[in-house]
Parts: sequence; C-alpha cells; structure tokens
Amino acid sequence: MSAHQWQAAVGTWPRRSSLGVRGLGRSPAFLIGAAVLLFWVVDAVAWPLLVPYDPQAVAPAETLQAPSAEHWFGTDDLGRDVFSRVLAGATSVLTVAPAAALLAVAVGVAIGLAAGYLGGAIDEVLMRVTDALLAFPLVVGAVLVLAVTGVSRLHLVVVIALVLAPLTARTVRAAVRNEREREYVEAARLRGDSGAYIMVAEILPNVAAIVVAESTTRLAAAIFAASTLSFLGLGIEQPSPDWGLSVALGRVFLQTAPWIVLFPALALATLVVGATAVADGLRLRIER
Amino acid sequence: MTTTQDRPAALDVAGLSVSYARRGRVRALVDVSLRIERGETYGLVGESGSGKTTLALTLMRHLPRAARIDGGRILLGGDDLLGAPERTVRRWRGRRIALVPQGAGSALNPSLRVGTQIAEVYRAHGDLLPAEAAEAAARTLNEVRVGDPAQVLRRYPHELSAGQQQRVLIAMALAANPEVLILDEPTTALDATVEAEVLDLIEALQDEIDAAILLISHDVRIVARLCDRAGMLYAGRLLEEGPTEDVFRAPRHPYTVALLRCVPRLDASGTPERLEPIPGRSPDLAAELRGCSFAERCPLVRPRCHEEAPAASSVADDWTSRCHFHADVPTLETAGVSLNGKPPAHDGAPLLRVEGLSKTYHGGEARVEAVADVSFELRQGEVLGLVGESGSGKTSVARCIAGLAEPSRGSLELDGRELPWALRERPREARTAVQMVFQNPDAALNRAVTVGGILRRSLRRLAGDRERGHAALYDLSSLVHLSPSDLELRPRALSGGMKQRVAIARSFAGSPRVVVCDEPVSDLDVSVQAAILNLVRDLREREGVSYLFISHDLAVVRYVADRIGVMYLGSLVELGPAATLFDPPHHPYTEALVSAVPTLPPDEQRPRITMYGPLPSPRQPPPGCRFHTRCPRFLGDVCRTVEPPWQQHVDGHRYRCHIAPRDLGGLQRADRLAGRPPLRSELTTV
Amino acid sequence: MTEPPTEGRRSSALTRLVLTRVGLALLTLLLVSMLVFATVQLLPGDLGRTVLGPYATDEQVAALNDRVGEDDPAPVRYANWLSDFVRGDWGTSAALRQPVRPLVLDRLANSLLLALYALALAVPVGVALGMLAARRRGRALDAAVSTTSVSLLAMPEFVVGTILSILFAVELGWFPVSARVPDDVASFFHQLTLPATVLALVLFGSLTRVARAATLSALDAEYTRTATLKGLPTRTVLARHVLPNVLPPTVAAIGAHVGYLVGGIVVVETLFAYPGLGKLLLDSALAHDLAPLQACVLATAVVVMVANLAADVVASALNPRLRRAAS
Repeated sequence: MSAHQWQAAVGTWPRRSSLGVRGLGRSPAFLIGAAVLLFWVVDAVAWPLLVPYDPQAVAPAETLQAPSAEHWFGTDDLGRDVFSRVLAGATSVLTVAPAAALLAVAVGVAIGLAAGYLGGAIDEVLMRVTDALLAFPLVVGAVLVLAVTGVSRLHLVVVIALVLAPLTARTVRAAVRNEREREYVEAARLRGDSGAYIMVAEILPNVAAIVVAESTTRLAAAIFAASTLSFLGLGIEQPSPDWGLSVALGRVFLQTAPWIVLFPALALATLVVGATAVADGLRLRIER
Repeated sequence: MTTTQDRPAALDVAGLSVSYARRGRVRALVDVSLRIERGETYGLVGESGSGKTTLALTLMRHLPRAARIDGGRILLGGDDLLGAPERTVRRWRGRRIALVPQGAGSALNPSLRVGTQIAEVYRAHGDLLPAEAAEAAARTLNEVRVGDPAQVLRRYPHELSAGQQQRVLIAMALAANPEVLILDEPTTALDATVEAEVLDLIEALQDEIDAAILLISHDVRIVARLCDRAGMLYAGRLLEEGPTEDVFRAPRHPYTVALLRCVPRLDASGTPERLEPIPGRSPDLAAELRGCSFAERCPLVRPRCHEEAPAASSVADDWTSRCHFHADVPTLETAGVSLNGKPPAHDGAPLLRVEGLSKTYHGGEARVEAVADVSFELRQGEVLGLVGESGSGKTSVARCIAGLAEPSRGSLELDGRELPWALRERPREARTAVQMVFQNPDAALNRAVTVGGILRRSLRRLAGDRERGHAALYDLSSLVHLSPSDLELRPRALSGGMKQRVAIARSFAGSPRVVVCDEPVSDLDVSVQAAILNLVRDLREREGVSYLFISHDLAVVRYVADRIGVMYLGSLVELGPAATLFDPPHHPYTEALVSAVPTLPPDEQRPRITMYGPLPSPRQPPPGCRFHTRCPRFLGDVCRTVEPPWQQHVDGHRYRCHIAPRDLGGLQRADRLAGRPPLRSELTTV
Repeated sequence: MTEPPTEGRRSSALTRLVLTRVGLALLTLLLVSMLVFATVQLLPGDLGRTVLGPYATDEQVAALNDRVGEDDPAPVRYANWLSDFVRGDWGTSAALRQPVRPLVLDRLANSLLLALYALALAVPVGVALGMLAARRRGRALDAAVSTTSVSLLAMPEFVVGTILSILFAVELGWFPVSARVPDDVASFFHQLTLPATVLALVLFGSLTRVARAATLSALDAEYTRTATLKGLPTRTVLARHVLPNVLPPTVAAIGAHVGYLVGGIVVVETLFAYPGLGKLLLDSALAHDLAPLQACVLATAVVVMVANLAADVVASALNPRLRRAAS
C-alpha cells in the first residue's frame, strides 16, 4: 500500500474541535453578568471620579433624608450621601474577595492534585483534614478564627481562603482521580516521566477548565463571605462605606429610614448575581 | 420463503431521509428503503457513522429534538408510522415494534429489580395484575433460555452477567409479542462464547416467533449467519440490498467487496490472506454530496460517479445496488494476496521470558487470583498472541509485563537478564525496550497536547539526547503514515484509527524491542482495524520488533500472530503456532472458542460446542483442572482432582489436559467430521 | 456467568458502611475539637483578668489562673477540657455568668426549630421545581428556575433578609422585624416565617440545582430511554425510573446543605435578633467568651457531621448497587 493510501485509511470523519469558550458570546445571562461585574470593578477603582459627594463627608444638617433629586439614595444618620457611599463601597469587597478566591484556588488545586494523583496515605490524611475544615460552616469557622486573630484585610483574605479551599480541593481531587485512570497517564509513566511532571504537565492542563470554573464560583462565594463577615462586625472597620458594614450599622434605622440599608443591599445583590452568572456560564460551557 | 400477498409487509420503509441540526445540517439517512415481511430476518450492516442507530430510533419514533425527518414513509403492518399522533405511537412502542438497544448494562435501570422491569411491559400493554405479570415475566425468561428464572427475576441488573443482561433485554422486547423486533448490535462487547450463545438464541427465536426481525450490526459474519436478507448502510445510504447468501458470495457493490476484504477470517486454511483496509475517509455528512457517497474511496470510480448519485438499480429479484457500474463489480479482486508467512528469525535465546507469573488481588475478605502461574517466552521478531475471554487474566499479564502492575510472584527476564517488575526499578534501556499500546485510543492520548507534542516528548524521554530534532519526529510519524500537518492537530480532531497510530508511533519512539498491545483494535471499525493490523505486521517486518498481542477476537489474533497462547480463568492452557492451534488436537476450551467464532460464509457443518454451566467465580477457581466444570470432554475424577500436565505436540505446540494429543486429536477430528458436538460423559454438579 | 452474593452479605455491607462512616466521623470530630481548642486558646487575653475584671490585683488574677489551670501546658488543658466536656461540664460563661451547657442546649433547640422550618420550606419546593425545570429543559420555566436559583445561591442571607424585612416587615407590616421564641402555633408562624424564608431561599437556590442536575442525568440515561421505548406511559417512566435515581444524590446534597444552613443561621439570628445558637456563637466570639464559644462551635460541628452522615447513609441505602458492595 502506498504512503498516500496509508495516510488516508482512517474511517470516520474526524470531529471538529468543539466551540469552547467562544460560544459564551451567545449566552445572555453570561453577558449581562459579565457586564455587571465589569461595572463594579471599574467602579471600585474609579469611584472618586464618579461620586457626587465625598462618601465620608458628614453633614449634620442633612441626616436621614429620603431619596430626592439632590441625594438619589438619600442620606444616612450622619448626613452622608448614600449614593456616594454605595459607589465607594465596592472597593473593600472587591479587594478582599478576589484575593481570597485566588488563594483558595491555589491552595485547593495544590491539595487536590497531590491527593488525587498520589493517593494512598497522603490522600487519606489530606482528605481527613479537608473534611475537618469542611465541618466548619463558612461563617462559623471565620467567626472563630477572626475573633482570635483580630481583623485586618490580610486576616480576612487568609481566613476566607482557608474556608473556601477545601471545597476546591475536593472538586480538583475528583477530577484528577478521573484523569489518573486514563491510559495517557500510564503511557507517561511508561515513558519514565516523574510523578511531579505528570501532575503538572499532563494532568493539570486537562483539569484546567474545571479550575477556571472553580475560580469564578469561589469568587462568588468569597464575595458572599467577605460581605457577610462585614455585616457580622468581623470585617472592615468604620467608617468604611463597605456594604456589609453599612447594612449592619443602618439596621437600627430599618423602620424609619430603610433606604440606608436597602441600597447597599441591592448593590451587593447585583454584584453577587453578576459574579454567579459569569461563574455559571463558564461552568456550563465547560461541561458541555 | 413465501410472502402472502394479502398480508402487508411487517415493515415497509420507503425513501426515508433524516437529518440532524448540528452546525448546519447533518444528513444521517438519505433515501433509505427497505421492506421486511413477517418471519423474515433482515440484517443491516453498517460501521460507525453509517446511520444505523438513527434508523433504529426513527423506526421507534424516538428521535432527539434536533433531528428532523426530511421525507419518506414508514408503514408498520400497513399503518402509517410517521403520520400517527404521539399518543398512538406510544401505544405501538413495545407492543407492535420493539427495540433491543445496544449496551445491555446501561440499558437496564440499576435501581429496579429485573423482574419489575420485565413485568412493566406486560402491565403497560396487557393490563395484567402484578402477580400475572410476574408469571408472564418468568415465562418469557424461559423463552430466552435463562436458567433459574425465579432467581433472576429477583436480582438487580448489576448482579447479572453480560449474557444474562442481554437475554433480559430480549425478553423485555419480546414480551408484548411485537410485529417487528429490532436488535441493535446485540452482541457487541460480549465474549465470543457468550456471543455465540446469544446468536443461538436468536436463531431459535427465529423459528418460534412470527415477528419481522431487523438485525443491525457492524459484523458481517453474524448477519451472514442469521439473516435472510442483508443491506449495506454507508453514510446514510443503502448501497446494496439483497438475499444474504448472494450479497456476500458475489457482491454487486464495491463497498460490499471492500468491507468483506477487511474481515479477518478464522478459516483453517494455512496462511491467511492479507486484509485490505478501505482507503480514504467516510464523507462529511454535513456537506452537500452530489455524486455517489462511496466515490472517494471506490476502486471502480469514474467521472460520472462524482456528478450523479446512483439510483437503486435492480440486479435481480429483490436485489438492488446503488452503483452506476454494478455490472463491473464481479471483476474486482475478492481474494486477497496470500501473506508470505516469513518465519521470524530465531536466534535461539528468547527475548523475553516470563516464569511463574501470578497475581492475586485482595479486596476486603475476597481473594481473587487473576493470574495463576503463567510461564512463556517471547522470541525475537515474533508476534505472540494472547487470547481469552473476560476474567482470563490476559490484561493483567500484559500490564505486569509492561511494568504497570506488580505481580505477587514470578520472574521476568529480558535478553537473559533479570528485569524488575516495577516500572520505577527498571533501568532506562529496559523502559525504552518494553512499551505498551492501549485499547481505548481516546483515553490513551493527552487531550491537551498536540500530536507533535506527544511524539516529541516520547522521543525526548525514550530516545534520549541522541535523537533530537525534527528529523527524528518526521521519521517517527512517517513510520505510521502520519503527515506533517497531522502533527499540529489535537487528539480531538483525529479519528479512532489515527489516534491509535499516534499511540503506536509513541511506543516506537525509542526503538523498542517488545511492544505489548492490549486489545488495540477492539474499539475500532472493521475497515480501520485492518489498517492497524497491517501496520502491526509491517512494523514487525521492518523494525524487527516483537509483540505481545492481547485480544479476545480469535480471527484478529490469527491474522497477526505467529504463536498464540490461550488463557482461561488466570491460567495459560495452551500455547502453539498460529497455523496449527485452531485445528485438533487442541485444548477443549480452544476447541469451544473456535466453534463460537462465526465464519464467513457460515459453516453449517461445524458443530457448535457449548460449555456446560456458568463461568466459575475467580474467587473460587475449581480444583484440579480449572476448566473441568465446563469441559465437554470431562473425564471424571482425575479432572476434578489432579492438575493437568502439559501435553506436548509438534512444533512447540503444548496444552494442559489429561487427554494425550493422539487421543484428543482423534476425538476432535471425528466430531468435526460428523458435525456433532461432544457430549459430556458425566454431568458434574458445580 | 458469575454467582451473585448471598442475602446475608447485603445487610452486613450496609452495616459496615455505617460503622465505617461513624468511625470516621468521630475521628474528624476529635480533630475538630483539637482545632477549636487550639484556635480559641490563641485568643489574646487572660481568663483570670476577664473574669475578675480590671480592678483585681495581679496576685488575685494569678491565683485564679492557677486554680483553673490556665497555666498548665496545652495538651493537659486540652485533655481536661475534653474530659469535662464529655462528662457534661461545659464550663461557665464569663460574660453571661451562666453555666454553658443549659444555655447552649436551650439556644440549640431554638435554632433547630428555625432550621427545620426552613428545611420544610426549601426541600419540597426546591426538589419539585428542580425536577420540573429538568423536564421542561431549555424552555421558559427552566430558564426562569435556573436563573433564579443561581442568583439565590450565593446571595448573602443578610441581603435577602434586609430586602425581605423592608418589604414584609416595614412596608407591609405582616411580620415583626425581630423574632422572638414562639410559644404556640400562631406565634410560630408569625415570628419565624420571615427568618425561615430567608434561610429557605438561599437553600432553595442550591437544592434546585442539584435536583435539576440529578433529574437531567436520569432523564438522559440509557435506561430511561429503554423504558420509554418499551412503551411505558410518561408518568410511569418518571415515577419508577427517573425518581428513584434522582433521590440518592439529592438526599446526599441536602446533608451537605446543612452546613450552609448553620452558617446562614448565624447571620439570620443576628439580623432578626433571635436567641439561637448562632447568635450566641457570634456574641461569644465578639466578647471573647471562651467557654460558650468552644461549646457552640463543637455543637455546630456535631450537627453538621450527623446530618452529613445521615444523608450519606440514606443515599447509600437507596442505591442498590452500594448496598451490595460486599461483592
């Protein structure tokens, strides 16, 4: 048989590579979510240019005013413009949450890779520790640790990452164990590749998609965590316009001046929805 | 067979065209017409992508939402199937037309007992009370020859063997006495002997039921055995259709000829003929096709073939062919070139020697002896085939030799020097020298890396510093006939055959001495399989490499191997030259295996040897000879208590049995001549 | 054809499974207790000083510390604390000046009331909607359910709580802004509906997705297609083939969600000033009140693990393949 015939003796038509990330452009939920997320990110950086008033400027004469033409979202108990405070409040959560999410994913991937590929005793130990950490619901664990260590941005980031990492570790571990069974890993061993090489160069690229999906999901969870902790009084301190803090402090005025808590809550809601829509869109695309 | 003119055909399909919406429009079926009468069995032959499953689903009116019926008519016993409302069709499903789907294991609900699932059919179509339905279910199980139906009914699907699961599915389909029965690949993934039993069952059912049977399969051999008429489906078009015997004996379509030349034969007639894989690729179903769908790959192709799609021309009564030049088809070569059996060079000393290999798994309280005391040698430049059914331990042997699994006992020698079993303990030269090709081409290549990347890495690790550079890479890829442009592709864009060639190239990167192949062609289409098998043979001749070739398919192994070893329940029961292994005298298990493989053309004379009783659990292998519980040539107590010795025959052919070659040969030859299977002299209680 | 396992093996497989899981859970609990103890011991501050206040002399503080064993090495203190705890002595709250055990148990009961109400709201609705959305995959209902559940999933409880409070408590006045412990059925609904709904909404977000995914996977399964091809009516296919395969993963997920529930309870109780375990936890943390803090954290860990264990056992029991794992 000639080389040409050999080359062509294949059988069924090879499948074209699947759409991948490009298809996301068609999903309205994803696009809207991304837009919202983008808006808040830009706002977190550029709020000084956007605010009509100084968020910290106290105006004793104008306390507890309902929304009006001068103050679109009204004023709070110290006369500060709520609209400006809402715009400025994005920074704190968008500083802490992404950092925490990134750290969580990094730690989670490392643990998941090691546990999933190496198996055996290492896997058992790591999984026991992970289970122990998972037994602490997010808030409980964070409350415990922060009460001890005191609150600062760094502590917040580390604590949230610690609480979020186990779930990522479990997901990555499951994916790695799946990959480990596949014959190309055995072929790599037959080649003489070391365990470390296989983990990083062979398996990791194949679970990369899952890692990306995890990262965005963790981001949403980190936003959740950071803002909840602020609400509970374990987050950013006064007089930050942080949303969680605003809601916590403004609660006493719930019945008299609900706008003080309503708008920060709504702002946070939109951020969460945006982040989750992006995370979900990515996840669905990857699973397809 | 007479067709009563006043009774409409059980199934009448005319001009059926179906397409899917998937990045454009994929034409799955184009102008397909066929007709099956009551009591007739029609075999539809098609490889993957031919549209056979689409046809089955269309007949059940159960297509996915993305599918669209573009035209045609289907009459079920004279009634319009395509035009009927959903409510009516739902009543017809299961009662008038039933499907036995592919993949018995996943087609049964894992959470429900088998009895419930069968009884459901009765309850849905017959309004029977639960007790009556249960009784009916038991009766149906008897019809499909399931032993101890009462027990089986109480079990869950995963507690049944593959053969039993398949029978249960057939029982469910037969329950409501349908007019049309569709069997979609009924024996894929079944062991040869189990497959033979299922085929026997279908043959028996053909006599007992009145339904029209549509048998869909990629395997021409079983269609040849069971079907009255055959149709060749290719790229959604029915290329040839006619009485089975005629179509396969003197085909009138180039595709049929080409397909028949790809099928490995097990005929005991000296050296086998060379298989001819079909050149080219099957057409892209999403593209507009003007001429004949087979034109790109056809040896008879002429300009007219590219321009005009051929209509179904009549060859004879009930025999049509979609070819402009079907009259010229008989001039095509049907016989292949005889392989020149170049005997491998024997330097005397064996290349690889395995001694006393045993592997026992400990799972909880269970102790499973997967491999028990296997010893053999692999000589320089030879292909040693290892056959056996599931549970035989052949895969464990392969993995141990490759270094991927560690045995409990045994020694391994390469070139006379001891070779550690564990991969990490092997020296670099040994790792390069012993490589492996896996069964599943999808899982065997890293999806995230390009072909070039995969091969380059293998070159670097296995060939070392000496062979860096593009030259080595191109040499390696041309070894398996991959073009330079293929190197840029990721595995996702490759077909099964191409993926397997990459896997083979990868193992050859370091110029190995031994390549262990674990079922390398089992997941591939017949036409692609032929190409890979030829590649294996050619590489052996060119590179002088030795192979340990594992397969469950005897015909495949016959084609590639010089010597063959037969494994049963963890033991090696026979070892001998491929040319003589399939003839008496040989081990009774081998005898049964050979009788189970369907031949082309079907050999009515050859007796079908049934083995007695179920496969013993590997946790409790039978004492004495492991095969004694099922052996049709069981002698008595000696087989039950004493482990059989190795009997030596000619040319290094040896087998383990208490019956000496001369006696065994006499018995087996006599039975073959008389066309009668051996009767067990004494029935053992297991 | 291999022989199937005998009847006797089946129940022992399940028993073994339960025992193993319980054993592992106890081990994890021990680990948790160590972690809790270690963390809390790092709290800045001095037990003696906290108890006696700023006006006591250093000698008095030292004497108290010595008496309570504050200065003993950590493992000794841990062992003491653990043995006390197991025997029922959970210490005294420095801030509230009450014994911890009755306090914690009382608050736990209040929280359980709230939690069960939330579960009763979230589980049936979530599972039903998830299954319904899966059946109408790709259509309007599915899109609506998916979007809603996804949005609710990561929504902080205090956001939902605030918005709902403003709407139903402030504007409409249907429910009170703070919740008291109910004493009868009427006050149960009046006081707890709002906080329970807040909890339920977030739970519902994730439960719906799990139920939907499980249903989709069952609907797409080969065996479902076989059932349809047998000619079974749709409702039979759904009830007998799909539902039994949807239940195990959903039950397992519910177990996992108890963890989220506990976290949510802390927030909701704070938001509605409800005297439950969550609020006690937070208050103790902020006040650096060690004994109740340790007890609360351990109590929540126990609850979470018990729920997970129960869910896993039920899920395994529902899955025939796992039940017969002995083979």
